[in-house]
Amino acid sequence: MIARNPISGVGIGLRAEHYEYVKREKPTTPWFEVLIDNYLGHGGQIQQHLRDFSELYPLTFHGVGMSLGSCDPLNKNYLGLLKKAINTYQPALISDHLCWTGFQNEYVHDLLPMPYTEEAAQHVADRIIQAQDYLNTQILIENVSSYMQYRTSEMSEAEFVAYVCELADCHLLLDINNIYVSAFNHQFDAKEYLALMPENRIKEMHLAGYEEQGDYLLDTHGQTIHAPVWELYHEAIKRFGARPTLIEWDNDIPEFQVLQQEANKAEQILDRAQTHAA
Amino acid sequence: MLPELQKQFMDGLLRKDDRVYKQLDGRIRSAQQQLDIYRNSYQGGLLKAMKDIYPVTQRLLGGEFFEAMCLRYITQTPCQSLDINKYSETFAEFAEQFKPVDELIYLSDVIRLEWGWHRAYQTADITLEDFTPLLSFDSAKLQSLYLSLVPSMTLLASSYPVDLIWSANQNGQADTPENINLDIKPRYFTIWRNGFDSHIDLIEPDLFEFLLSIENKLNLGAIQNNNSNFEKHLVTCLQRSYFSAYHF
Ligand SMILES: [Fe+2]
Repeated sequence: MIARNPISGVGIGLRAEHYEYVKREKPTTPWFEVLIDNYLGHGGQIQQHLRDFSELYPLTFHGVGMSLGSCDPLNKNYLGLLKKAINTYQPALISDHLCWTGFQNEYVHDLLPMPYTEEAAQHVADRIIQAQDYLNTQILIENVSSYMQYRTSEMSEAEFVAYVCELADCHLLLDINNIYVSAFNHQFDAKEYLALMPENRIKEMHLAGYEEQGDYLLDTHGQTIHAPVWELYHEAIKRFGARPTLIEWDNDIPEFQVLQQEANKAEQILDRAQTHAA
Repeated sequence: MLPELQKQFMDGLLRKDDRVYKQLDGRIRSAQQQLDIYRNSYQGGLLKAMKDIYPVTQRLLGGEFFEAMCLRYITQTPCQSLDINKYSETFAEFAEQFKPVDELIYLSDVIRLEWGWHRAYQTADITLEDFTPLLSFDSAKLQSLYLSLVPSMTLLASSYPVDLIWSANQNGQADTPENINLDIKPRYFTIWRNGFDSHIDLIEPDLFEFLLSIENKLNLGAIQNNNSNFEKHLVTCLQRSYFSAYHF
């Protein structure tokens, strides 16, 4: 497996709305995460943007296309395009989600949770192993926000996440907002969840804003990060130490400076953790 | 177990089959409520994609009507592509059958034009083959040749000036189609991309026929028999880089 270049500090999710600004102003953001599915198999200006940003900043690749939990065969065409992009741009990290996104050639383009069973853990871990072998690199899998729970689940979400990481020998992208959203929706304790996470496998964290929908929280990535998510992030950094952290924003995308302010807040939390540790 | 669960979920989400309900733990919120959250998110995602692809159609119909029409389409048409950018290829055919827009006779062709424009922008780049060897081929060899159009290309024939309607609705301008004379001769287009630049070329009917024959995989011999301007068109297409490759 190929070792990748390390990144640190707080990166920002690159969105088309900010392309021009970032190219012009070259902000001091240490790295950017690209939603790699938007570039795979596309040409012209779309590819050119990826080329441009790869020359300006370290990049991480984040995708939803592997559908690691699906019972369909792994999509070799998608993996082939991804592998080519990895070889070309040498991203610092490659991540996808611990979920499935479709079945029998119907795609929901959403992150569907797995049932937390032995069968599902073996299934998804086996596919992560196949993907890692094919891509010749370890990948990060991200815990997703969820709005449903299966009757058949035999363990908690946190136990499932930790178990799959162990089985597949993969890394973990811990999305703090997703933990909070799922904890709220399914009434579990977010701090207990953190306690079960495999510290050495956590290579990145995500932060984003949710939306209140009456009796549940929806993971819309359309607002600033909420106070309880900051609190949980603080807790996570205290427990695990500093990790590369990403600010994600996907809906009602504001000026780039708003994302920078969120990144600065996260940076302060990382700095404080480092001075404590020293 | 897992395949069955995934099958039931997809049937529940896309086809309102309620077998999946018994798979869901309803202690905190009902199974139906859980599935509805995912259905809304699924439909919202596809709707957002369609809004990005069809800005002119949306302007012609008004936002609310456009949304309602898209949702009807989305309900009938599960997404069968991993790449969400490939969704709604059949929207123009849907619009043709959609009674409430019967009076907007040009609408389905505007949709085809916007789809072609979107496709041209998204399509992967390819390296064009070197066509200079063609110059040295004798006529028998040329006759047995097949050509391929660049993959970004869409051919569109319309009885309406959809290109004028389209341009009148670019860059924040909104011109009602009432100001455009709809009563003109059929128009023929290629919609394609060369490097970074997407084009909508208005072309002669005869050149359109020529390109259509190439798209339909006829060899040059067969095309020559039906098209008297064959040589002229061949040169035009080569000059404009309409072809990506040739083979025998
Ligand atoms: Fe995330």
